[in-house]
Amino acid sequence: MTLTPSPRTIKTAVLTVLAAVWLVPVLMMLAVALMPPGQRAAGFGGLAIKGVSLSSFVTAFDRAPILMHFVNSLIITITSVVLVVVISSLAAYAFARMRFRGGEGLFYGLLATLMLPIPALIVPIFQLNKTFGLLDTYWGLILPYTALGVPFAVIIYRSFFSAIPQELEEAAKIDGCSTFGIWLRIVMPLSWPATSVVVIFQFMTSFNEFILALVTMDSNSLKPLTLVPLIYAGPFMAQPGPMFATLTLITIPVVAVYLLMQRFMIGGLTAGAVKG
Amino acid sequence: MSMSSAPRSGSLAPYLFVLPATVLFVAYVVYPILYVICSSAYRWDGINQATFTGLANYIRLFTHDPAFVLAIRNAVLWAPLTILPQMLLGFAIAYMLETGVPRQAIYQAIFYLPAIISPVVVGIVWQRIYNPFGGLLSDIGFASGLRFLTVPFLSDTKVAIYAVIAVNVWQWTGFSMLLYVAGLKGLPTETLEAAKIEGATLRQTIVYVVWPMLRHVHLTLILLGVIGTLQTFPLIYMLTNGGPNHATESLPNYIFLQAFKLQSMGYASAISVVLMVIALALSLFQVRVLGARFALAE
Amino acid sequence: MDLSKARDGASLFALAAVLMSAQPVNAADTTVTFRTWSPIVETTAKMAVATEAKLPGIKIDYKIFNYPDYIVDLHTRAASDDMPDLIGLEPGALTRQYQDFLLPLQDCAVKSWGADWKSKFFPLAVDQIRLGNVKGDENYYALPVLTQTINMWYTIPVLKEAGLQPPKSYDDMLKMVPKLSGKGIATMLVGAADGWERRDVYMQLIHNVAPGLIYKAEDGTAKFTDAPFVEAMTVWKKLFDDGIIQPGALGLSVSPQAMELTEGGRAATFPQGAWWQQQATRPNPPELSVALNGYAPMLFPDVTGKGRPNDPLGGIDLMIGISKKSKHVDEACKVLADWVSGAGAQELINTFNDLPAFKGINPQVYQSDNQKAVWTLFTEEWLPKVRYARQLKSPAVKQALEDALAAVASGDQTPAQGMATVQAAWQSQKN
Repeated sequence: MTLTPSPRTIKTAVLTVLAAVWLVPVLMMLAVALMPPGQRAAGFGGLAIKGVSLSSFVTAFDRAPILMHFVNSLIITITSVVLVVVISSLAAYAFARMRFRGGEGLFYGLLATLMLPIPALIVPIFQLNKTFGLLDTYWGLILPYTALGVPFAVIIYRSFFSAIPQELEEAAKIDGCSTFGIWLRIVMPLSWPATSVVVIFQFMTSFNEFILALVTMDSNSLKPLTLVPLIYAGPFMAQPGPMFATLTLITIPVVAVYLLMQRFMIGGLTAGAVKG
Repeated sequence: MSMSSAPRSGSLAPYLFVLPATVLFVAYVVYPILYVICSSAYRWDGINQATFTGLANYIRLFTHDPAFVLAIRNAVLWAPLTILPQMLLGFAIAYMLETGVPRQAIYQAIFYLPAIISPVVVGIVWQRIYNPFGGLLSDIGFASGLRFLTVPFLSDTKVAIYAVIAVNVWQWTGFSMLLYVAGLKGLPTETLEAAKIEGATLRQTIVYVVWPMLRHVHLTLILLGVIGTLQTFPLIYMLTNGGPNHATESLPNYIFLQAFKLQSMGYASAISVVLMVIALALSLFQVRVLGARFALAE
Repeated sequence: MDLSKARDGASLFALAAVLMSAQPVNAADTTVTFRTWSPIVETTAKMAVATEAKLPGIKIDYKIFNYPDYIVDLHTRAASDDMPDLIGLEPGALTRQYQDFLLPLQDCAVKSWGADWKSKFFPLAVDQIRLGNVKGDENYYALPVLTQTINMWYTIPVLKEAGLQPPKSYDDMLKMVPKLSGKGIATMLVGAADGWERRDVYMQLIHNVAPGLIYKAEDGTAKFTDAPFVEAMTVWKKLFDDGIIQPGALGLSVSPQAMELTEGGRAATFPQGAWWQQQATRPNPPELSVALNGYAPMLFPDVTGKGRPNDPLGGIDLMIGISKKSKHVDEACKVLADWVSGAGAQELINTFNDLPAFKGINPQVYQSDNQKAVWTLFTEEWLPKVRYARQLKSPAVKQALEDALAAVASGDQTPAQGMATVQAAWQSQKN
């Protein structure tokens, strides 16, 4: 009998400790949310609560129609994700495979805007939305989110497309396939890893953005989930319980989306690479 | 990497392909940029009459603004100190997970969780962790005698930026892990088997075989890390609002402060222009020098 | 909800608008729009209901934000010519910035309260409306709704248990430290991560050292580098060094963290204004805040040894302006007047949100004697005495002062260096 633990045991132990540390802030959020009303967490940052109560969740749920805001977030996010994937991959395909006047200039133009600071763009974007009549509509957020997401997606797609061997496309061309057909039927299906990166990244940025959303959306019924702590701010900021309950409630749907997509995400990221 | 030559398509096709991107780009990106560049030449509160001042905003920015210097310093610290730990830790976790641990999916979800939590939550919760008066770390420190935990992490101007960086690492390591898990799953199994047969140690396998084969993941993470560095706004805004005395200032947060709280839209625009120029230089550097094989398969 | 809604968002809304306006019930109604950061949603809702009941045919559409978000919203709307009818404002720089968008309101005031309208408000409320005006501009661009004082509070049971009296001097505070720190209680709990809280403490210090001097420095007849300013800054630093202010204060936000610790019984004293009274009217208040039983206000202890002034600093908490472009000026004026002195004002004051600007409005119900005593102290003793403003005029000077306070507290700058940066900021905004 040996006393040395197996590598598997060591790994599990290390990961468990790390995961526990990783979870502390999340547990803290839960602890404060479960604190009985009238109690104030005075020590250990709120982890040391005396007793448990769901009343903060009831208060929070009564006040904020979480589900409605979540649906708004999904509509805005999914539409912008789909648009970014289609628009960017089309453009990236042209950049990767075709020579045309102004192509290189346009590509570097896109590159230049990879890291735009949103705080600087709020006013001009608001003015555009107003001109187009898009204030207080989903499109008023979908379009700028898409535009701001395009540069990163184009870079990812272009470098991926450049790495795909061209023989397939040339064969398809000889068979009479149109350029658009080649992009749709041959290139895109091969590009799941790139698409997955773009989808994950665009999903997270669109879902979490709140400054532009704050000024664009006026009707509470259209506001995305990120604005919930701001819309119902007054009573929440002063009351840790309902505030953290709200924060927990807005986290739950996001986690659910992640859990649903986890397999797809990893599968997608891996798909194209399996063949090596 | 140059534009590929084949196939020569019809003259209109490329333009049709780039049209939607171009339209959106011109409307929502080019116009705002021109707007920002224009207003950077004025002394302007963003609302009332503006006074043309030429390069005055830029001169003030580069000669008289310690907060701007701190924001730049923080970006310089931020990039390596977030990107490297997030990559190494993310890789380590991914490697442990991929080489056989029960309930992999649960671990993955736990590590990825911080990346999808609202920045509002992150800011408020971490203030509670760091606060030396009734906060988590300090109360643990007092209870256990580990006095270094009672440091005022966010209020010491020398420590604060590192405390904020640690939160960023906590938040984004899971994202790196996710990409590495995918990258590892994509590696041909023969390679690893071959290494084992040749009697390579674990360290050798990782350093000479696995790590180099994940070059595309590394590059993607570096690109994203640099983007993240220059766009760090919600975390700083919620956690420290750039304080104390701009010790944790980030460029976007400083732009926000100048534009709205200090009523200096012109000055904020000048900072934005500088930020865009830096971003442009970094993007070009990454694409031209690093070769930009960002996607996940080669 | 489906994607078709997203696709045709704009047209659907246009359609909805047409349908709504076609309904006979709403045809006669005028909608007055209102955007602000204060009061909170629940209170505004009650005010709207009360006011709509009194003014038939008027509907009020309100949007409430957090203050920083509100500034962004207001700015964006002004830059795009899209202002609401009623606009929540602070005296000073904020009102100045939007002055060209605001209607002078003296006519509205005369119409609502007669030619001697000014005498019906607390003096500070009328004085401070024009804090941001350009010299020579005599217009009133807003009407005050709520006023405030800034002061200190103490936690009654905490002091009682430690056998202490509310501190009257710096030495009193110093003597409290050893009796409290062992119990994990802050002698003065400050959420110093927020610039306004740092500034509030400093304003009270400089008001103690040299009353009125800081406003002269704002006008250029004194300098921020003068000895009294440095002295006040030195006291600020000492509050940290002597352990009177709790460790790590610069990393703690007022809301919710410092407030939570205060309501958790870990503050002997704390700087907050008259608005702290509203803690008692929040849903499910913690024990200390129930009926305001645990708290009482006090003036900032004397830090000079030469006595302190008996007037607190104060000002307008909230004033409301009317947009020049408003199509419903008369209706907006009526709503505003009702919020200043009518049924809406009564609802507002009932929540103890802050102090009234209009004389003679008191809460209809007090939950305890202490609550009543506190209210009376604020409105009858302190408010009429207020001479000096809580606010500074220039945002740049404000920010420089807040930065300097953080830099000095953390030891990065000496008090003299800190004040030099404030003077430099004053100089450059003047140019």
